[in-house]
Amino acid sequence: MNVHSRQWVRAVALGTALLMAAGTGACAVNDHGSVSVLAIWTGDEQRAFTTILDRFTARTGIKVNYTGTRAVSQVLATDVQTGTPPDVAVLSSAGELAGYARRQALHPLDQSGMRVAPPQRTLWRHVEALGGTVRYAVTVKATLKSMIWYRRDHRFEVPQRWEDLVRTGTAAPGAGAGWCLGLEATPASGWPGTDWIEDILLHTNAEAYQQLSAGTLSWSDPRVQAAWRAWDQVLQTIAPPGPARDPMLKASFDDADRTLVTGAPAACWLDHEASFVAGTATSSASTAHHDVDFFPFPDAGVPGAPDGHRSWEVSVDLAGMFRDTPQARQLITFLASDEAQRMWPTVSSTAFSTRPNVTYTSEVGRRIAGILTGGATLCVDPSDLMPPALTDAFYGAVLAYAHRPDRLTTLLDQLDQVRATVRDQIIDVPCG
Amino acid sequence: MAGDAVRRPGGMPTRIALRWLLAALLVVATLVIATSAAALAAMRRTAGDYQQRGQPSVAAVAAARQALVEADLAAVNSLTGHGGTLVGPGAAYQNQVSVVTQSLARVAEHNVAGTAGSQLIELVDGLLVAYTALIEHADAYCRLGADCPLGQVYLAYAGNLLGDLLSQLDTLRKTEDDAVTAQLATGGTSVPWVMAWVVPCLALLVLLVLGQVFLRRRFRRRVSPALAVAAVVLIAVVAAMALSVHARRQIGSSREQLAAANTTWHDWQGRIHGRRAATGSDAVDQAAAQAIQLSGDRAARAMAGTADPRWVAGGTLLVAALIVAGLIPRIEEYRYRSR
Repeated sequence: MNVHSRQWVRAVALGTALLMAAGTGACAVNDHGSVSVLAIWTGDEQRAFTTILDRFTARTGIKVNYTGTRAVSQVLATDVQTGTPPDVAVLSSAGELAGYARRQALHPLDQSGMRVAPPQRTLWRHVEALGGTVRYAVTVKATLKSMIWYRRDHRFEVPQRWEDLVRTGTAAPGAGAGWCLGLEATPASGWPGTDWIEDILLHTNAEAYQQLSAGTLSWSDPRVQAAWRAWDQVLQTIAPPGPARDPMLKASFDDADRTLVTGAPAACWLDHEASFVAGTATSSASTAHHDVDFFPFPDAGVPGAPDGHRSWEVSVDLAGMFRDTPQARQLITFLASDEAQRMWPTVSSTAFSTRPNVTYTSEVGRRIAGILTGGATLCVDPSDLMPPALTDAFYGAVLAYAHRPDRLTTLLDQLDQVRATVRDQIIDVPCG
Repeated sequence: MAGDAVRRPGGMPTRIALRWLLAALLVVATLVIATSAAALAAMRRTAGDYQQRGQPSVAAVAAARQALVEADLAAVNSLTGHGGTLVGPGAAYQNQVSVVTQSLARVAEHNVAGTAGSQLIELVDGLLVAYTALIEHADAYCRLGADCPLGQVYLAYAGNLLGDLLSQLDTLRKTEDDAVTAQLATGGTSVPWVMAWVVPCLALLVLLVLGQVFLRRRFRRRVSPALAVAAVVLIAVVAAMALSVHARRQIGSSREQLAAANTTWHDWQGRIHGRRAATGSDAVDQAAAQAIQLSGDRAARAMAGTADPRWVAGGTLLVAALIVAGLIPRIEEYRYRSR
């Protein structure tokens, strides 16, 4: 072989090597695959979540196809039934996830090869195991409830007992109306009312709350009936039963929150709402007229109980794996990681981690996080633990009761009938 | 004559020049056969895909959207009127919901947007379940008579969800439409594909003319009949292919009709905005249905308008055969002659 031929051979060899390297590189970029995620978040919440998903993509090279819809339960049910579930779905209802786990549509975590950071608190471990012993979900973020938000420009004495709270809402200081309340949250309208009833029961009779949550107490129990009737005392301060309550039934809960933060001075100034309001206050900063703060739901049983021993209702967003793929496993692991948990306060002021040592910029945010991660007793929202049939019936009963409180006995009987049909599906997660 | 044809001072020997000319013509003719066959196949594939999948999927999304708006109107009209206690949301609502589900099934069947389209279809399916559940709630309360005001509340919730549904259907329509645009941009009717067969055809035509000039100069013949016929057949092939390009315009027109139908429905919905209990939409439906029908016709015409591949293949092979028939006798004349 002469010199000229050798040069040709080298050139061809070099070219082939370069082409193979380029091909390998291209494969390396595409080989990471993708993961589909379904969750309830749209708008600002979707933007916050996708920022976290972007970090996941940057870390792993895995592309995330996110779908956000408020009809997440219906979409997920359709997807599972047609055999095309998303790889990962995020739901706030452990009861709903438990239904999928029973049908083996949800994959258990902590399988070989999966190293998902375990939660430190027993309560979260119970929730992530959906009331059982096998871990099926990871907590993406948490929401604190049992909060009464108010405008700071109103002067009043923080109520310590239920009667004080009702009086505070009725005798509004200044020209302001009392409660901001909207029950619309399509397609889960009614849940703002269920939070009221649950909170009243939790803070008047914690034992009855636990029993109702576990499905062992009749809805017609006098303590439960008393909670419903107590809520009507608040509703009476807003409007009498019947058509006068239609605006409240049709108003969305987030419109009520916005009214608290940005409404006219004569608008409502008290809002029984979860920690989302912290986000409403921030996102409405440019138009906000009112600085808001919160006080705890009055603990009628133990007046003036210190915060450290107070009971708070909470809800969590849980991510479950509906397709066991390497990409889904990596995403679940990432969402439970310290890195993702520490990101939440940087991307959203409505999101709180269940982990300690996460930094929050606002003073209100730090207080909420302190309650979620401190020594207070936390109780998971019972409507998140119920099977969907009972949860939906509870939402429906709240709307019907708000419209016509005289039908309470019938409504509670109907709830008991639904409970009887799904009793073995109710999961028990004790407060802790 | 022959002496003159053997070699021109400073020029290439005639026999070699003839062989080069033949080789060049056959190479370019082969290229024409290959590119025209490939381009025509791609053109028919594009027109076929559009007729069988692209057009039906976009049309079905538009139809689903309109049927949903009409279902909602029917439900509101029925449940807010006195008939609510007797017939619930009514037969018109049931029929329109049926049209929505059938249309969504058609979109799923013809989906051109791949995974993105499938995800949106599943999302719309789920939202539709939630929407119909709310209408059923409204129906249940309205049938009780005294509780119909609560039914109206559920009807308002359904109206809120309707906004989400329509927005997702708009996204689905755009996703399917964008996928069609992407297919057309790289399909057989796209400019790169047209250039892929036009350039070799023109090159062959130029070579045939040069061949005529060459033969006229070297052999003092006015015209080579075989090459002349080859040029005419080639022009016929180009004309047939050019007619196929017309499919592109038909597809464009079909898409315009689809957009017109969609706009007609959107405009109507804009006019009734805030008045869910509006009057019927028969005239609007008729205009939109005509536009969709026209769109389908244009799509069919686009497919039918593409040239028959057998004729084009036969024509290009005939061109090659005529080239051989025109030049081989001239080359043969030199086989036993001294140069």
